[in-house]
Amino acid sequence: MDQNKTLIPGQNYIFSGSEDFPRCVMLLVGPSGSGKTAYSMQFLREGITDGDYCLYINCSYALSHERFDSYFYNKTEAPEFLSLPSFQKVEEVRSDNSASNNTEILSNLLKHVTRSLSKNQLTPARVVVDSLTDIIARFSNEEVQRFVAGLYDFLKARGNATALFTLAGTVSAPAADVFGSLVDGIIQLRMEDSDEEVQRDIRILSLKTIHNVPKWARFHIAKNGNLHFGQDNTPSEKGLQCKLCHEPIVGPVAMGEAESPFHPSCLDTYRKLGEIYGSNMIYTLQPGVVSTSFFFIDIVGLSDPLLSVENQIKKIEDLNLLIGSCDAFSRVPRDEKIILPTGDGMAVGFLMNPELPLQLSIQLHRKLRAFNAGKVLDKTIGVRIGLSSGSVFVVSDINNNQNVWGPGIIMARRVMDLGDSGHILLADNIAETLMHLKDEYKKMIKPVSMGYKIKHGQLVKLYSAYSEDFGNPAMPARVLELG
Amino acid sequence: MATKCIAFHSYKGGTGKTTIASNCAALLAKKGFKVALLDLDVYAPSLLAYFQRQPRKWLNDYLLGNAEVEEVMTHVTDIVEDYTRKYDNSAEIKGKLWIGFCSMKKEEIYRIESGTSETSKSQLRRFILLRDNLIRDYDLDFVIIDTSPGIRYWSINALAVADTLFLTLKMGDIDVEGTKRLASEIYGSLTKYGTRSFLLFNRVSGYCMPVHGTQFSDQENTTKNTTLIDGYGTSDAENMLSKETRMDVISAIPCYCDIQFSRKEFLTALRYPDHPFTKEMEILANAMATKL
Repeated sequence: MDQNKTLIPGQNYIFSGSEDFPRCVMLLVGPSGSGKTAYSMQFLREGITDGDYCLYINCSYALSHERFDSYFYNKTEAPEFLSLPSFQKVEEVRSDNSASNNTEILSNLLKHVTRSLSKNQLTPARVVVDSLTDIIARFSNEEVQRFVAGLYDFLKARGNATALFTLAGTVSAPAADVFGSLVDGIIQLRMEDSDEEVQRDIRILSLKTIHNVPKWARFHIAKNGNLHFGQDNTPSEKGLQCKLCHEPIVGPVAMGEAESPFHPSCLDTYRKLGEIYGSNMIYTLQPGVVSTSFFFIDIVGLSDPLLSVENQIKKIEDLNLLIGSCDAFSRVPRDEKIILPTGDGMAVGFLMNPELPLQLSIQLHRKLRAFNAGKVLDKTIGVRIGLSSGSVFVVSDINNNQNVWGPGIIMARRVMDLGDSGHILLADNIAETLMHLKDEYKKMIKPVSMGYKIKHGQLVKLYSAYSEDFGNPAMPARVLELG
Repeated sequence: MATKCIAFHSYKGGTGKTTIASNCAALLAKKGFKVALLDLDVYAPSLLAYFQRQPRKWLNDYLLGNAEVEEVMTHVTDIVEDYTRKYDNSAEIKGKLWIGFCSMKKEEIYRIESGTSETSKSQLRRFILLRDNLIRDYDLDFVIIDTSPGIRYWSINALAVADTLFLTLKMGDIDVEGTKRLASEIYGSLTKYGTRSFLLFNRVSGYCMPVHGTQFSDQENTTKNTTLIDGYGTSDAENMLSKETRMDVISAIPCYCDIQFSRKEFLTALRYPDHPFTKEMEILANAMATKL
């Protein structure tokens, strides 16, 4: 399943569509030196990591197979390499008049490509044609267009394939117009020299059938050829601190997840450590009391014995992915939120902005609506959510990991327990804060009970947030039962 | 040249990591490179045995926040110079070598091991700063890290800050499954972000004919009886592991009985410039300088 999977490098920085980025065929256009080949290689490296079948079609005499292998950490992991120049040589040997065989050269190349892709039919594929500029220089427009259209049609019929055709030049050039219209969309690269440093940007200029607002994202090509996105090479603002080493950042700053600043050298180390330990390993809450706004969620009916354990686990994994894809979750720096898995759900504590638990609830409900659409009942995910705010103590658990305990998280849990599927219930402390903040919250947050007795006889004023596309306007069954 | 940060690691202990790392670091300094060698085998440190120099402070002190970088980095270029003067008829070397030693005292090892989650994170931060400070302030060509074996907190930290990993394997004692798991679960997470990883085979058999009474001083005898046979570097085990782990082989160092059964650890590459082991170290050092 490609949901939440990154199909092109820097996707989270350059794709703003409301749907998931699709497996598609894109034209990658940019001037010489803008990073087309580096981007393509990163695209293939990420594909290898994801277990995709990767194929690189080299159209240039400049790139040897050996040089190509050097782009990959281990030769054994390098993508399949097909080279147009080697096809030309074969054809030239076969015929005295090589020019007359041009059509055959491209159609033979296409045959080889389709054969390789067919052999790996069941595996998701990534293909790079690098570059159309080299082909255009040697073949007629008609031949090149036939090749591009032929490969495009094959990839679409095969399905589960993402491909990049690189093209040197600008998007206003006629070639970009023609080839851009033969594929699904255009990724544009630009570069400029400033202060002896080349700055490179990238954006998705167009993507057929999907609404995407083009936005430039800066990227940097590291010495090892890896691309780093969202990185600004300008000196950092005064006071910026590296999230990994905690030292002030003087000079270039690299932006990690949720716009967290890092020294460029620390960002890779952070990612590596995060990959092994999880990002909790790095971030530390100061021991003591912290004021937190909590989002508590669980999956309704998950422990139903009629539901297989496999299905239960799938639902938990899907819910985690959906929460992780919500902006209100992913854009909050890791050290400004506390994440506590609870088995059939999770608690997320936000340290800074009290709006975030509600925003996360709304975004999640919208994503769940799309996720559940068309699914049979036992595959759908129903959730109930409780929100509250208050103080919690930072404590160490038995595994020496940080945990929190206190009124903030307890109340969120109690409130959630009152809900049914689809409810977003709020304790009075957070509901009243939000209603005072913005009119839009006043419209969506409605009182449910002005004195509901919960565990240990504690009274809570209960609110529910709902609108047309999120929440549940019905009175919670437990509230109705107990009056 | 940008600083290269290389970690010598292994799945099991006793593979020769420290011997190879020490000898390579010393050879690189002899060749004119500026090198820092860090003992991150915090659970069983042994670099001290090769260099015989008491540091002002230990890496343990630095990680715990009780020492600064310059207090724990011991300048040992003079040791390399002494060897070179004595055994290679050369008075001066242009490179430099610093070593960060780890303490062998059990109390110091416990202090590093028994930290809470908070102190572990703080130590990790200080370790990352150590690498950055070394690169910035010492103008280094190489940071070489001798790690602890296996999948442990400090070995993983060392692997994460390095840009190149040498997975050292002792022929005849390879845990194939463990090595494969290490390669896929740990190395795979690191290579994803640009780390390069290689297999380094040690004590490869079939090259050294046992000779009674072989002494280090008997160079002629040692060299004469060390014969490379066909298929060097392409044995089945090497190929199989390279294929299984998807890692290229950086070097395959033969087994030398005189080193294997030596009573003490020392810098063979400096003490015996003509020893075939030294030639192997030269090849590896050259690969580190030119191919990484």
